[in-house]
Amino acid sequence: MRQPLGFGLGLRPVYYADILEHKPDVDWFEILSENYMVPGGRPLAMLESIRADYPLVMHGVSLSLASTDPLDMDYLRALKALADRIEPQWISDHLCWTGIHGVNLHDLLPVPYTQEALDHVVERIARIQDFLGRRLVIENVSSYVRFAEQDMDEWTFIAAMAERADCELLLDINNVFVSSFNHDFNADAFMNAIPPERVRQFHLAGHSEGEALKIDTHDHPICDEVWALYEKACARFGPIATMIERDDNFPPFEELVAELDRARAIASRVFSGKAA
Amino acid sequence: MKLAEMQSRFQAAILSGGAGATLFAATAKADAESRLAIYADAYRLRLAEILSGDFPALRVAMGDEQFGALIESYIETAPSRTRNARWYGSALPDFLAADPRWRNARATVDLARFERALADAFDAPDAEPLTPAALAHIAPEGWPALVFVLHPSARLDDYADGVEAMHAAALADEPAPPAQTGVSPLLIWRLHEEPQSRRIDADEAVALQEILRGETFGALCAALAFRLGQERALPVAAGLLARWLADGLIVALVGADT
Repeated sequence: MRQPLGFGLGLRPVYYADILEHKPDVDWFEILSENYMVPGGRPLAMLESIRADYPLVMHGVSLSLASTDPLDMDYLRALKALADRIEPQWISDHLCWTGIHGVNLHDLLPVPYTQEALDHVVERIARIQDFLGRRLVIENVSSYVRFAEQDMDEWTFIAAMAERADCELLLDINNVFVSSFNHDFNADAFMNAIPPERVRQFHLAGHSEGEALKIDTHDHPICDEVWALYEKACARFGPIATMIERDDNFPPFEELVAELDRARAIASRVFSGKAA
Repeated sequence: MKLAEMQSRFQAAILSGGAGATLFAATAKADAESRLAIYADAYRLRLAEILSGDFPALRVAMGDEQFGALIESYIETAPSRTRNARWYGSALPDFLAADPRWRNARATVDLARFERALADAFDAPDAEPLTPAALAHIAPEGWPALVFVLHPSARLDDYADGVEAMHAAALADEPAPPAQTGVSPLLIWRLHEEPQSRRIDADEAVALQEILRGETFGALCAALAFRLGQERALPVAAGLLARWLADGLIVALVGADT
């Protein structure tokens, strides 16, 4: 069994100085791949410096996995070039599409959970995995709409996708919580349907309250309900690489490290209980 | 309904901010229209945030109302076609220059161009600058055939005079400096990971244009000699070369048999 990577944070430019100066007690960093898919300059120089001290994971937002547009080979070539350069532990992106007809809406748009969409996504993952020469890790998104025409639940779709495409999963626990609230489903039902052997990483994050729905904004601390769900996830899935996303309303870096320590404490409690 | 049709309708609804809610189920918590509106609103907000982040000085200089009107028009006219949000605003300076509301505001247009050029220099390809020692071993007869290669970030273009001061004042939230009417060449490049800019005089502009065209040092000297006369040209060329090396602008020599 592979060694779990431990507890990581998102690498964001506002924290470069904290990380390089203080070498914080963080096991690894997740980068937003697109931020480093640039020709050169400081972003790549910072990445090289931080890579010397920490393992990295690449997390993308523009693969547009489920789009009915052709695969964007320029994007995939740039993604592969970055991966060849920084040798990430793995590469993840989302079960979503970001646009069609050449447009990018810069959003993680949900997929209708239909047989046709499942076939489409599975076939595209296979082609992308062939191109990259490695398995992809695919994340569940937060969503605010549910398509009127659907054949199955989100969790049935994701479990089938993972098995058929032979990919791995990034289980975003905040997204499970946000979507379970927005669509009135039971978060436990979602998690219980996910095959444990496919889960490579967890995401934790905060969200905000919209008028009627919860919105996945990554601009708040993690809420108690998501912590509780994380504890259940640890019990179900075992020691999985865990990472906290923060993309706005950035607190001092120490606050994120303290949040990460809370995740460590929860995981440690779950696993020591299991061992005893 | 086929997947492609669903995506086409969903995207059209987001771009138009309009109808398309029949694609989606309503629940007691929220109807389909308000659910769809979350995506349509977020789309505009996200692109506005990208542009505000990429043009902070332009925003201050124009004021929130004018800048808001500019980016609203840009977003409506130009949906993003780039995978990387980094390049979404690339066409904003040209858009500003073509819009009847602003096209005569040369300083504002050039501030947008300047801000964009600094961003392009920031993450242009890497190259290690040469030190003066790299030139030490070149035999005198080798000099005329030498071709100097500039750092990949280096760009030479005309900008309204004072645009750098406008930029600095806007970022510091200080009053805009008095407007200037002239236009002159500005060199923009990157040194030690930071974008740099400086005005250059007519001699340096002539010399840099020769280099940017891939011409030899001999051709550069000939161009300067045409302007200044043979006697003055060589010391000017030597002075420029020393400055470019100090500025980290020269990254390679082609045709140096050392």
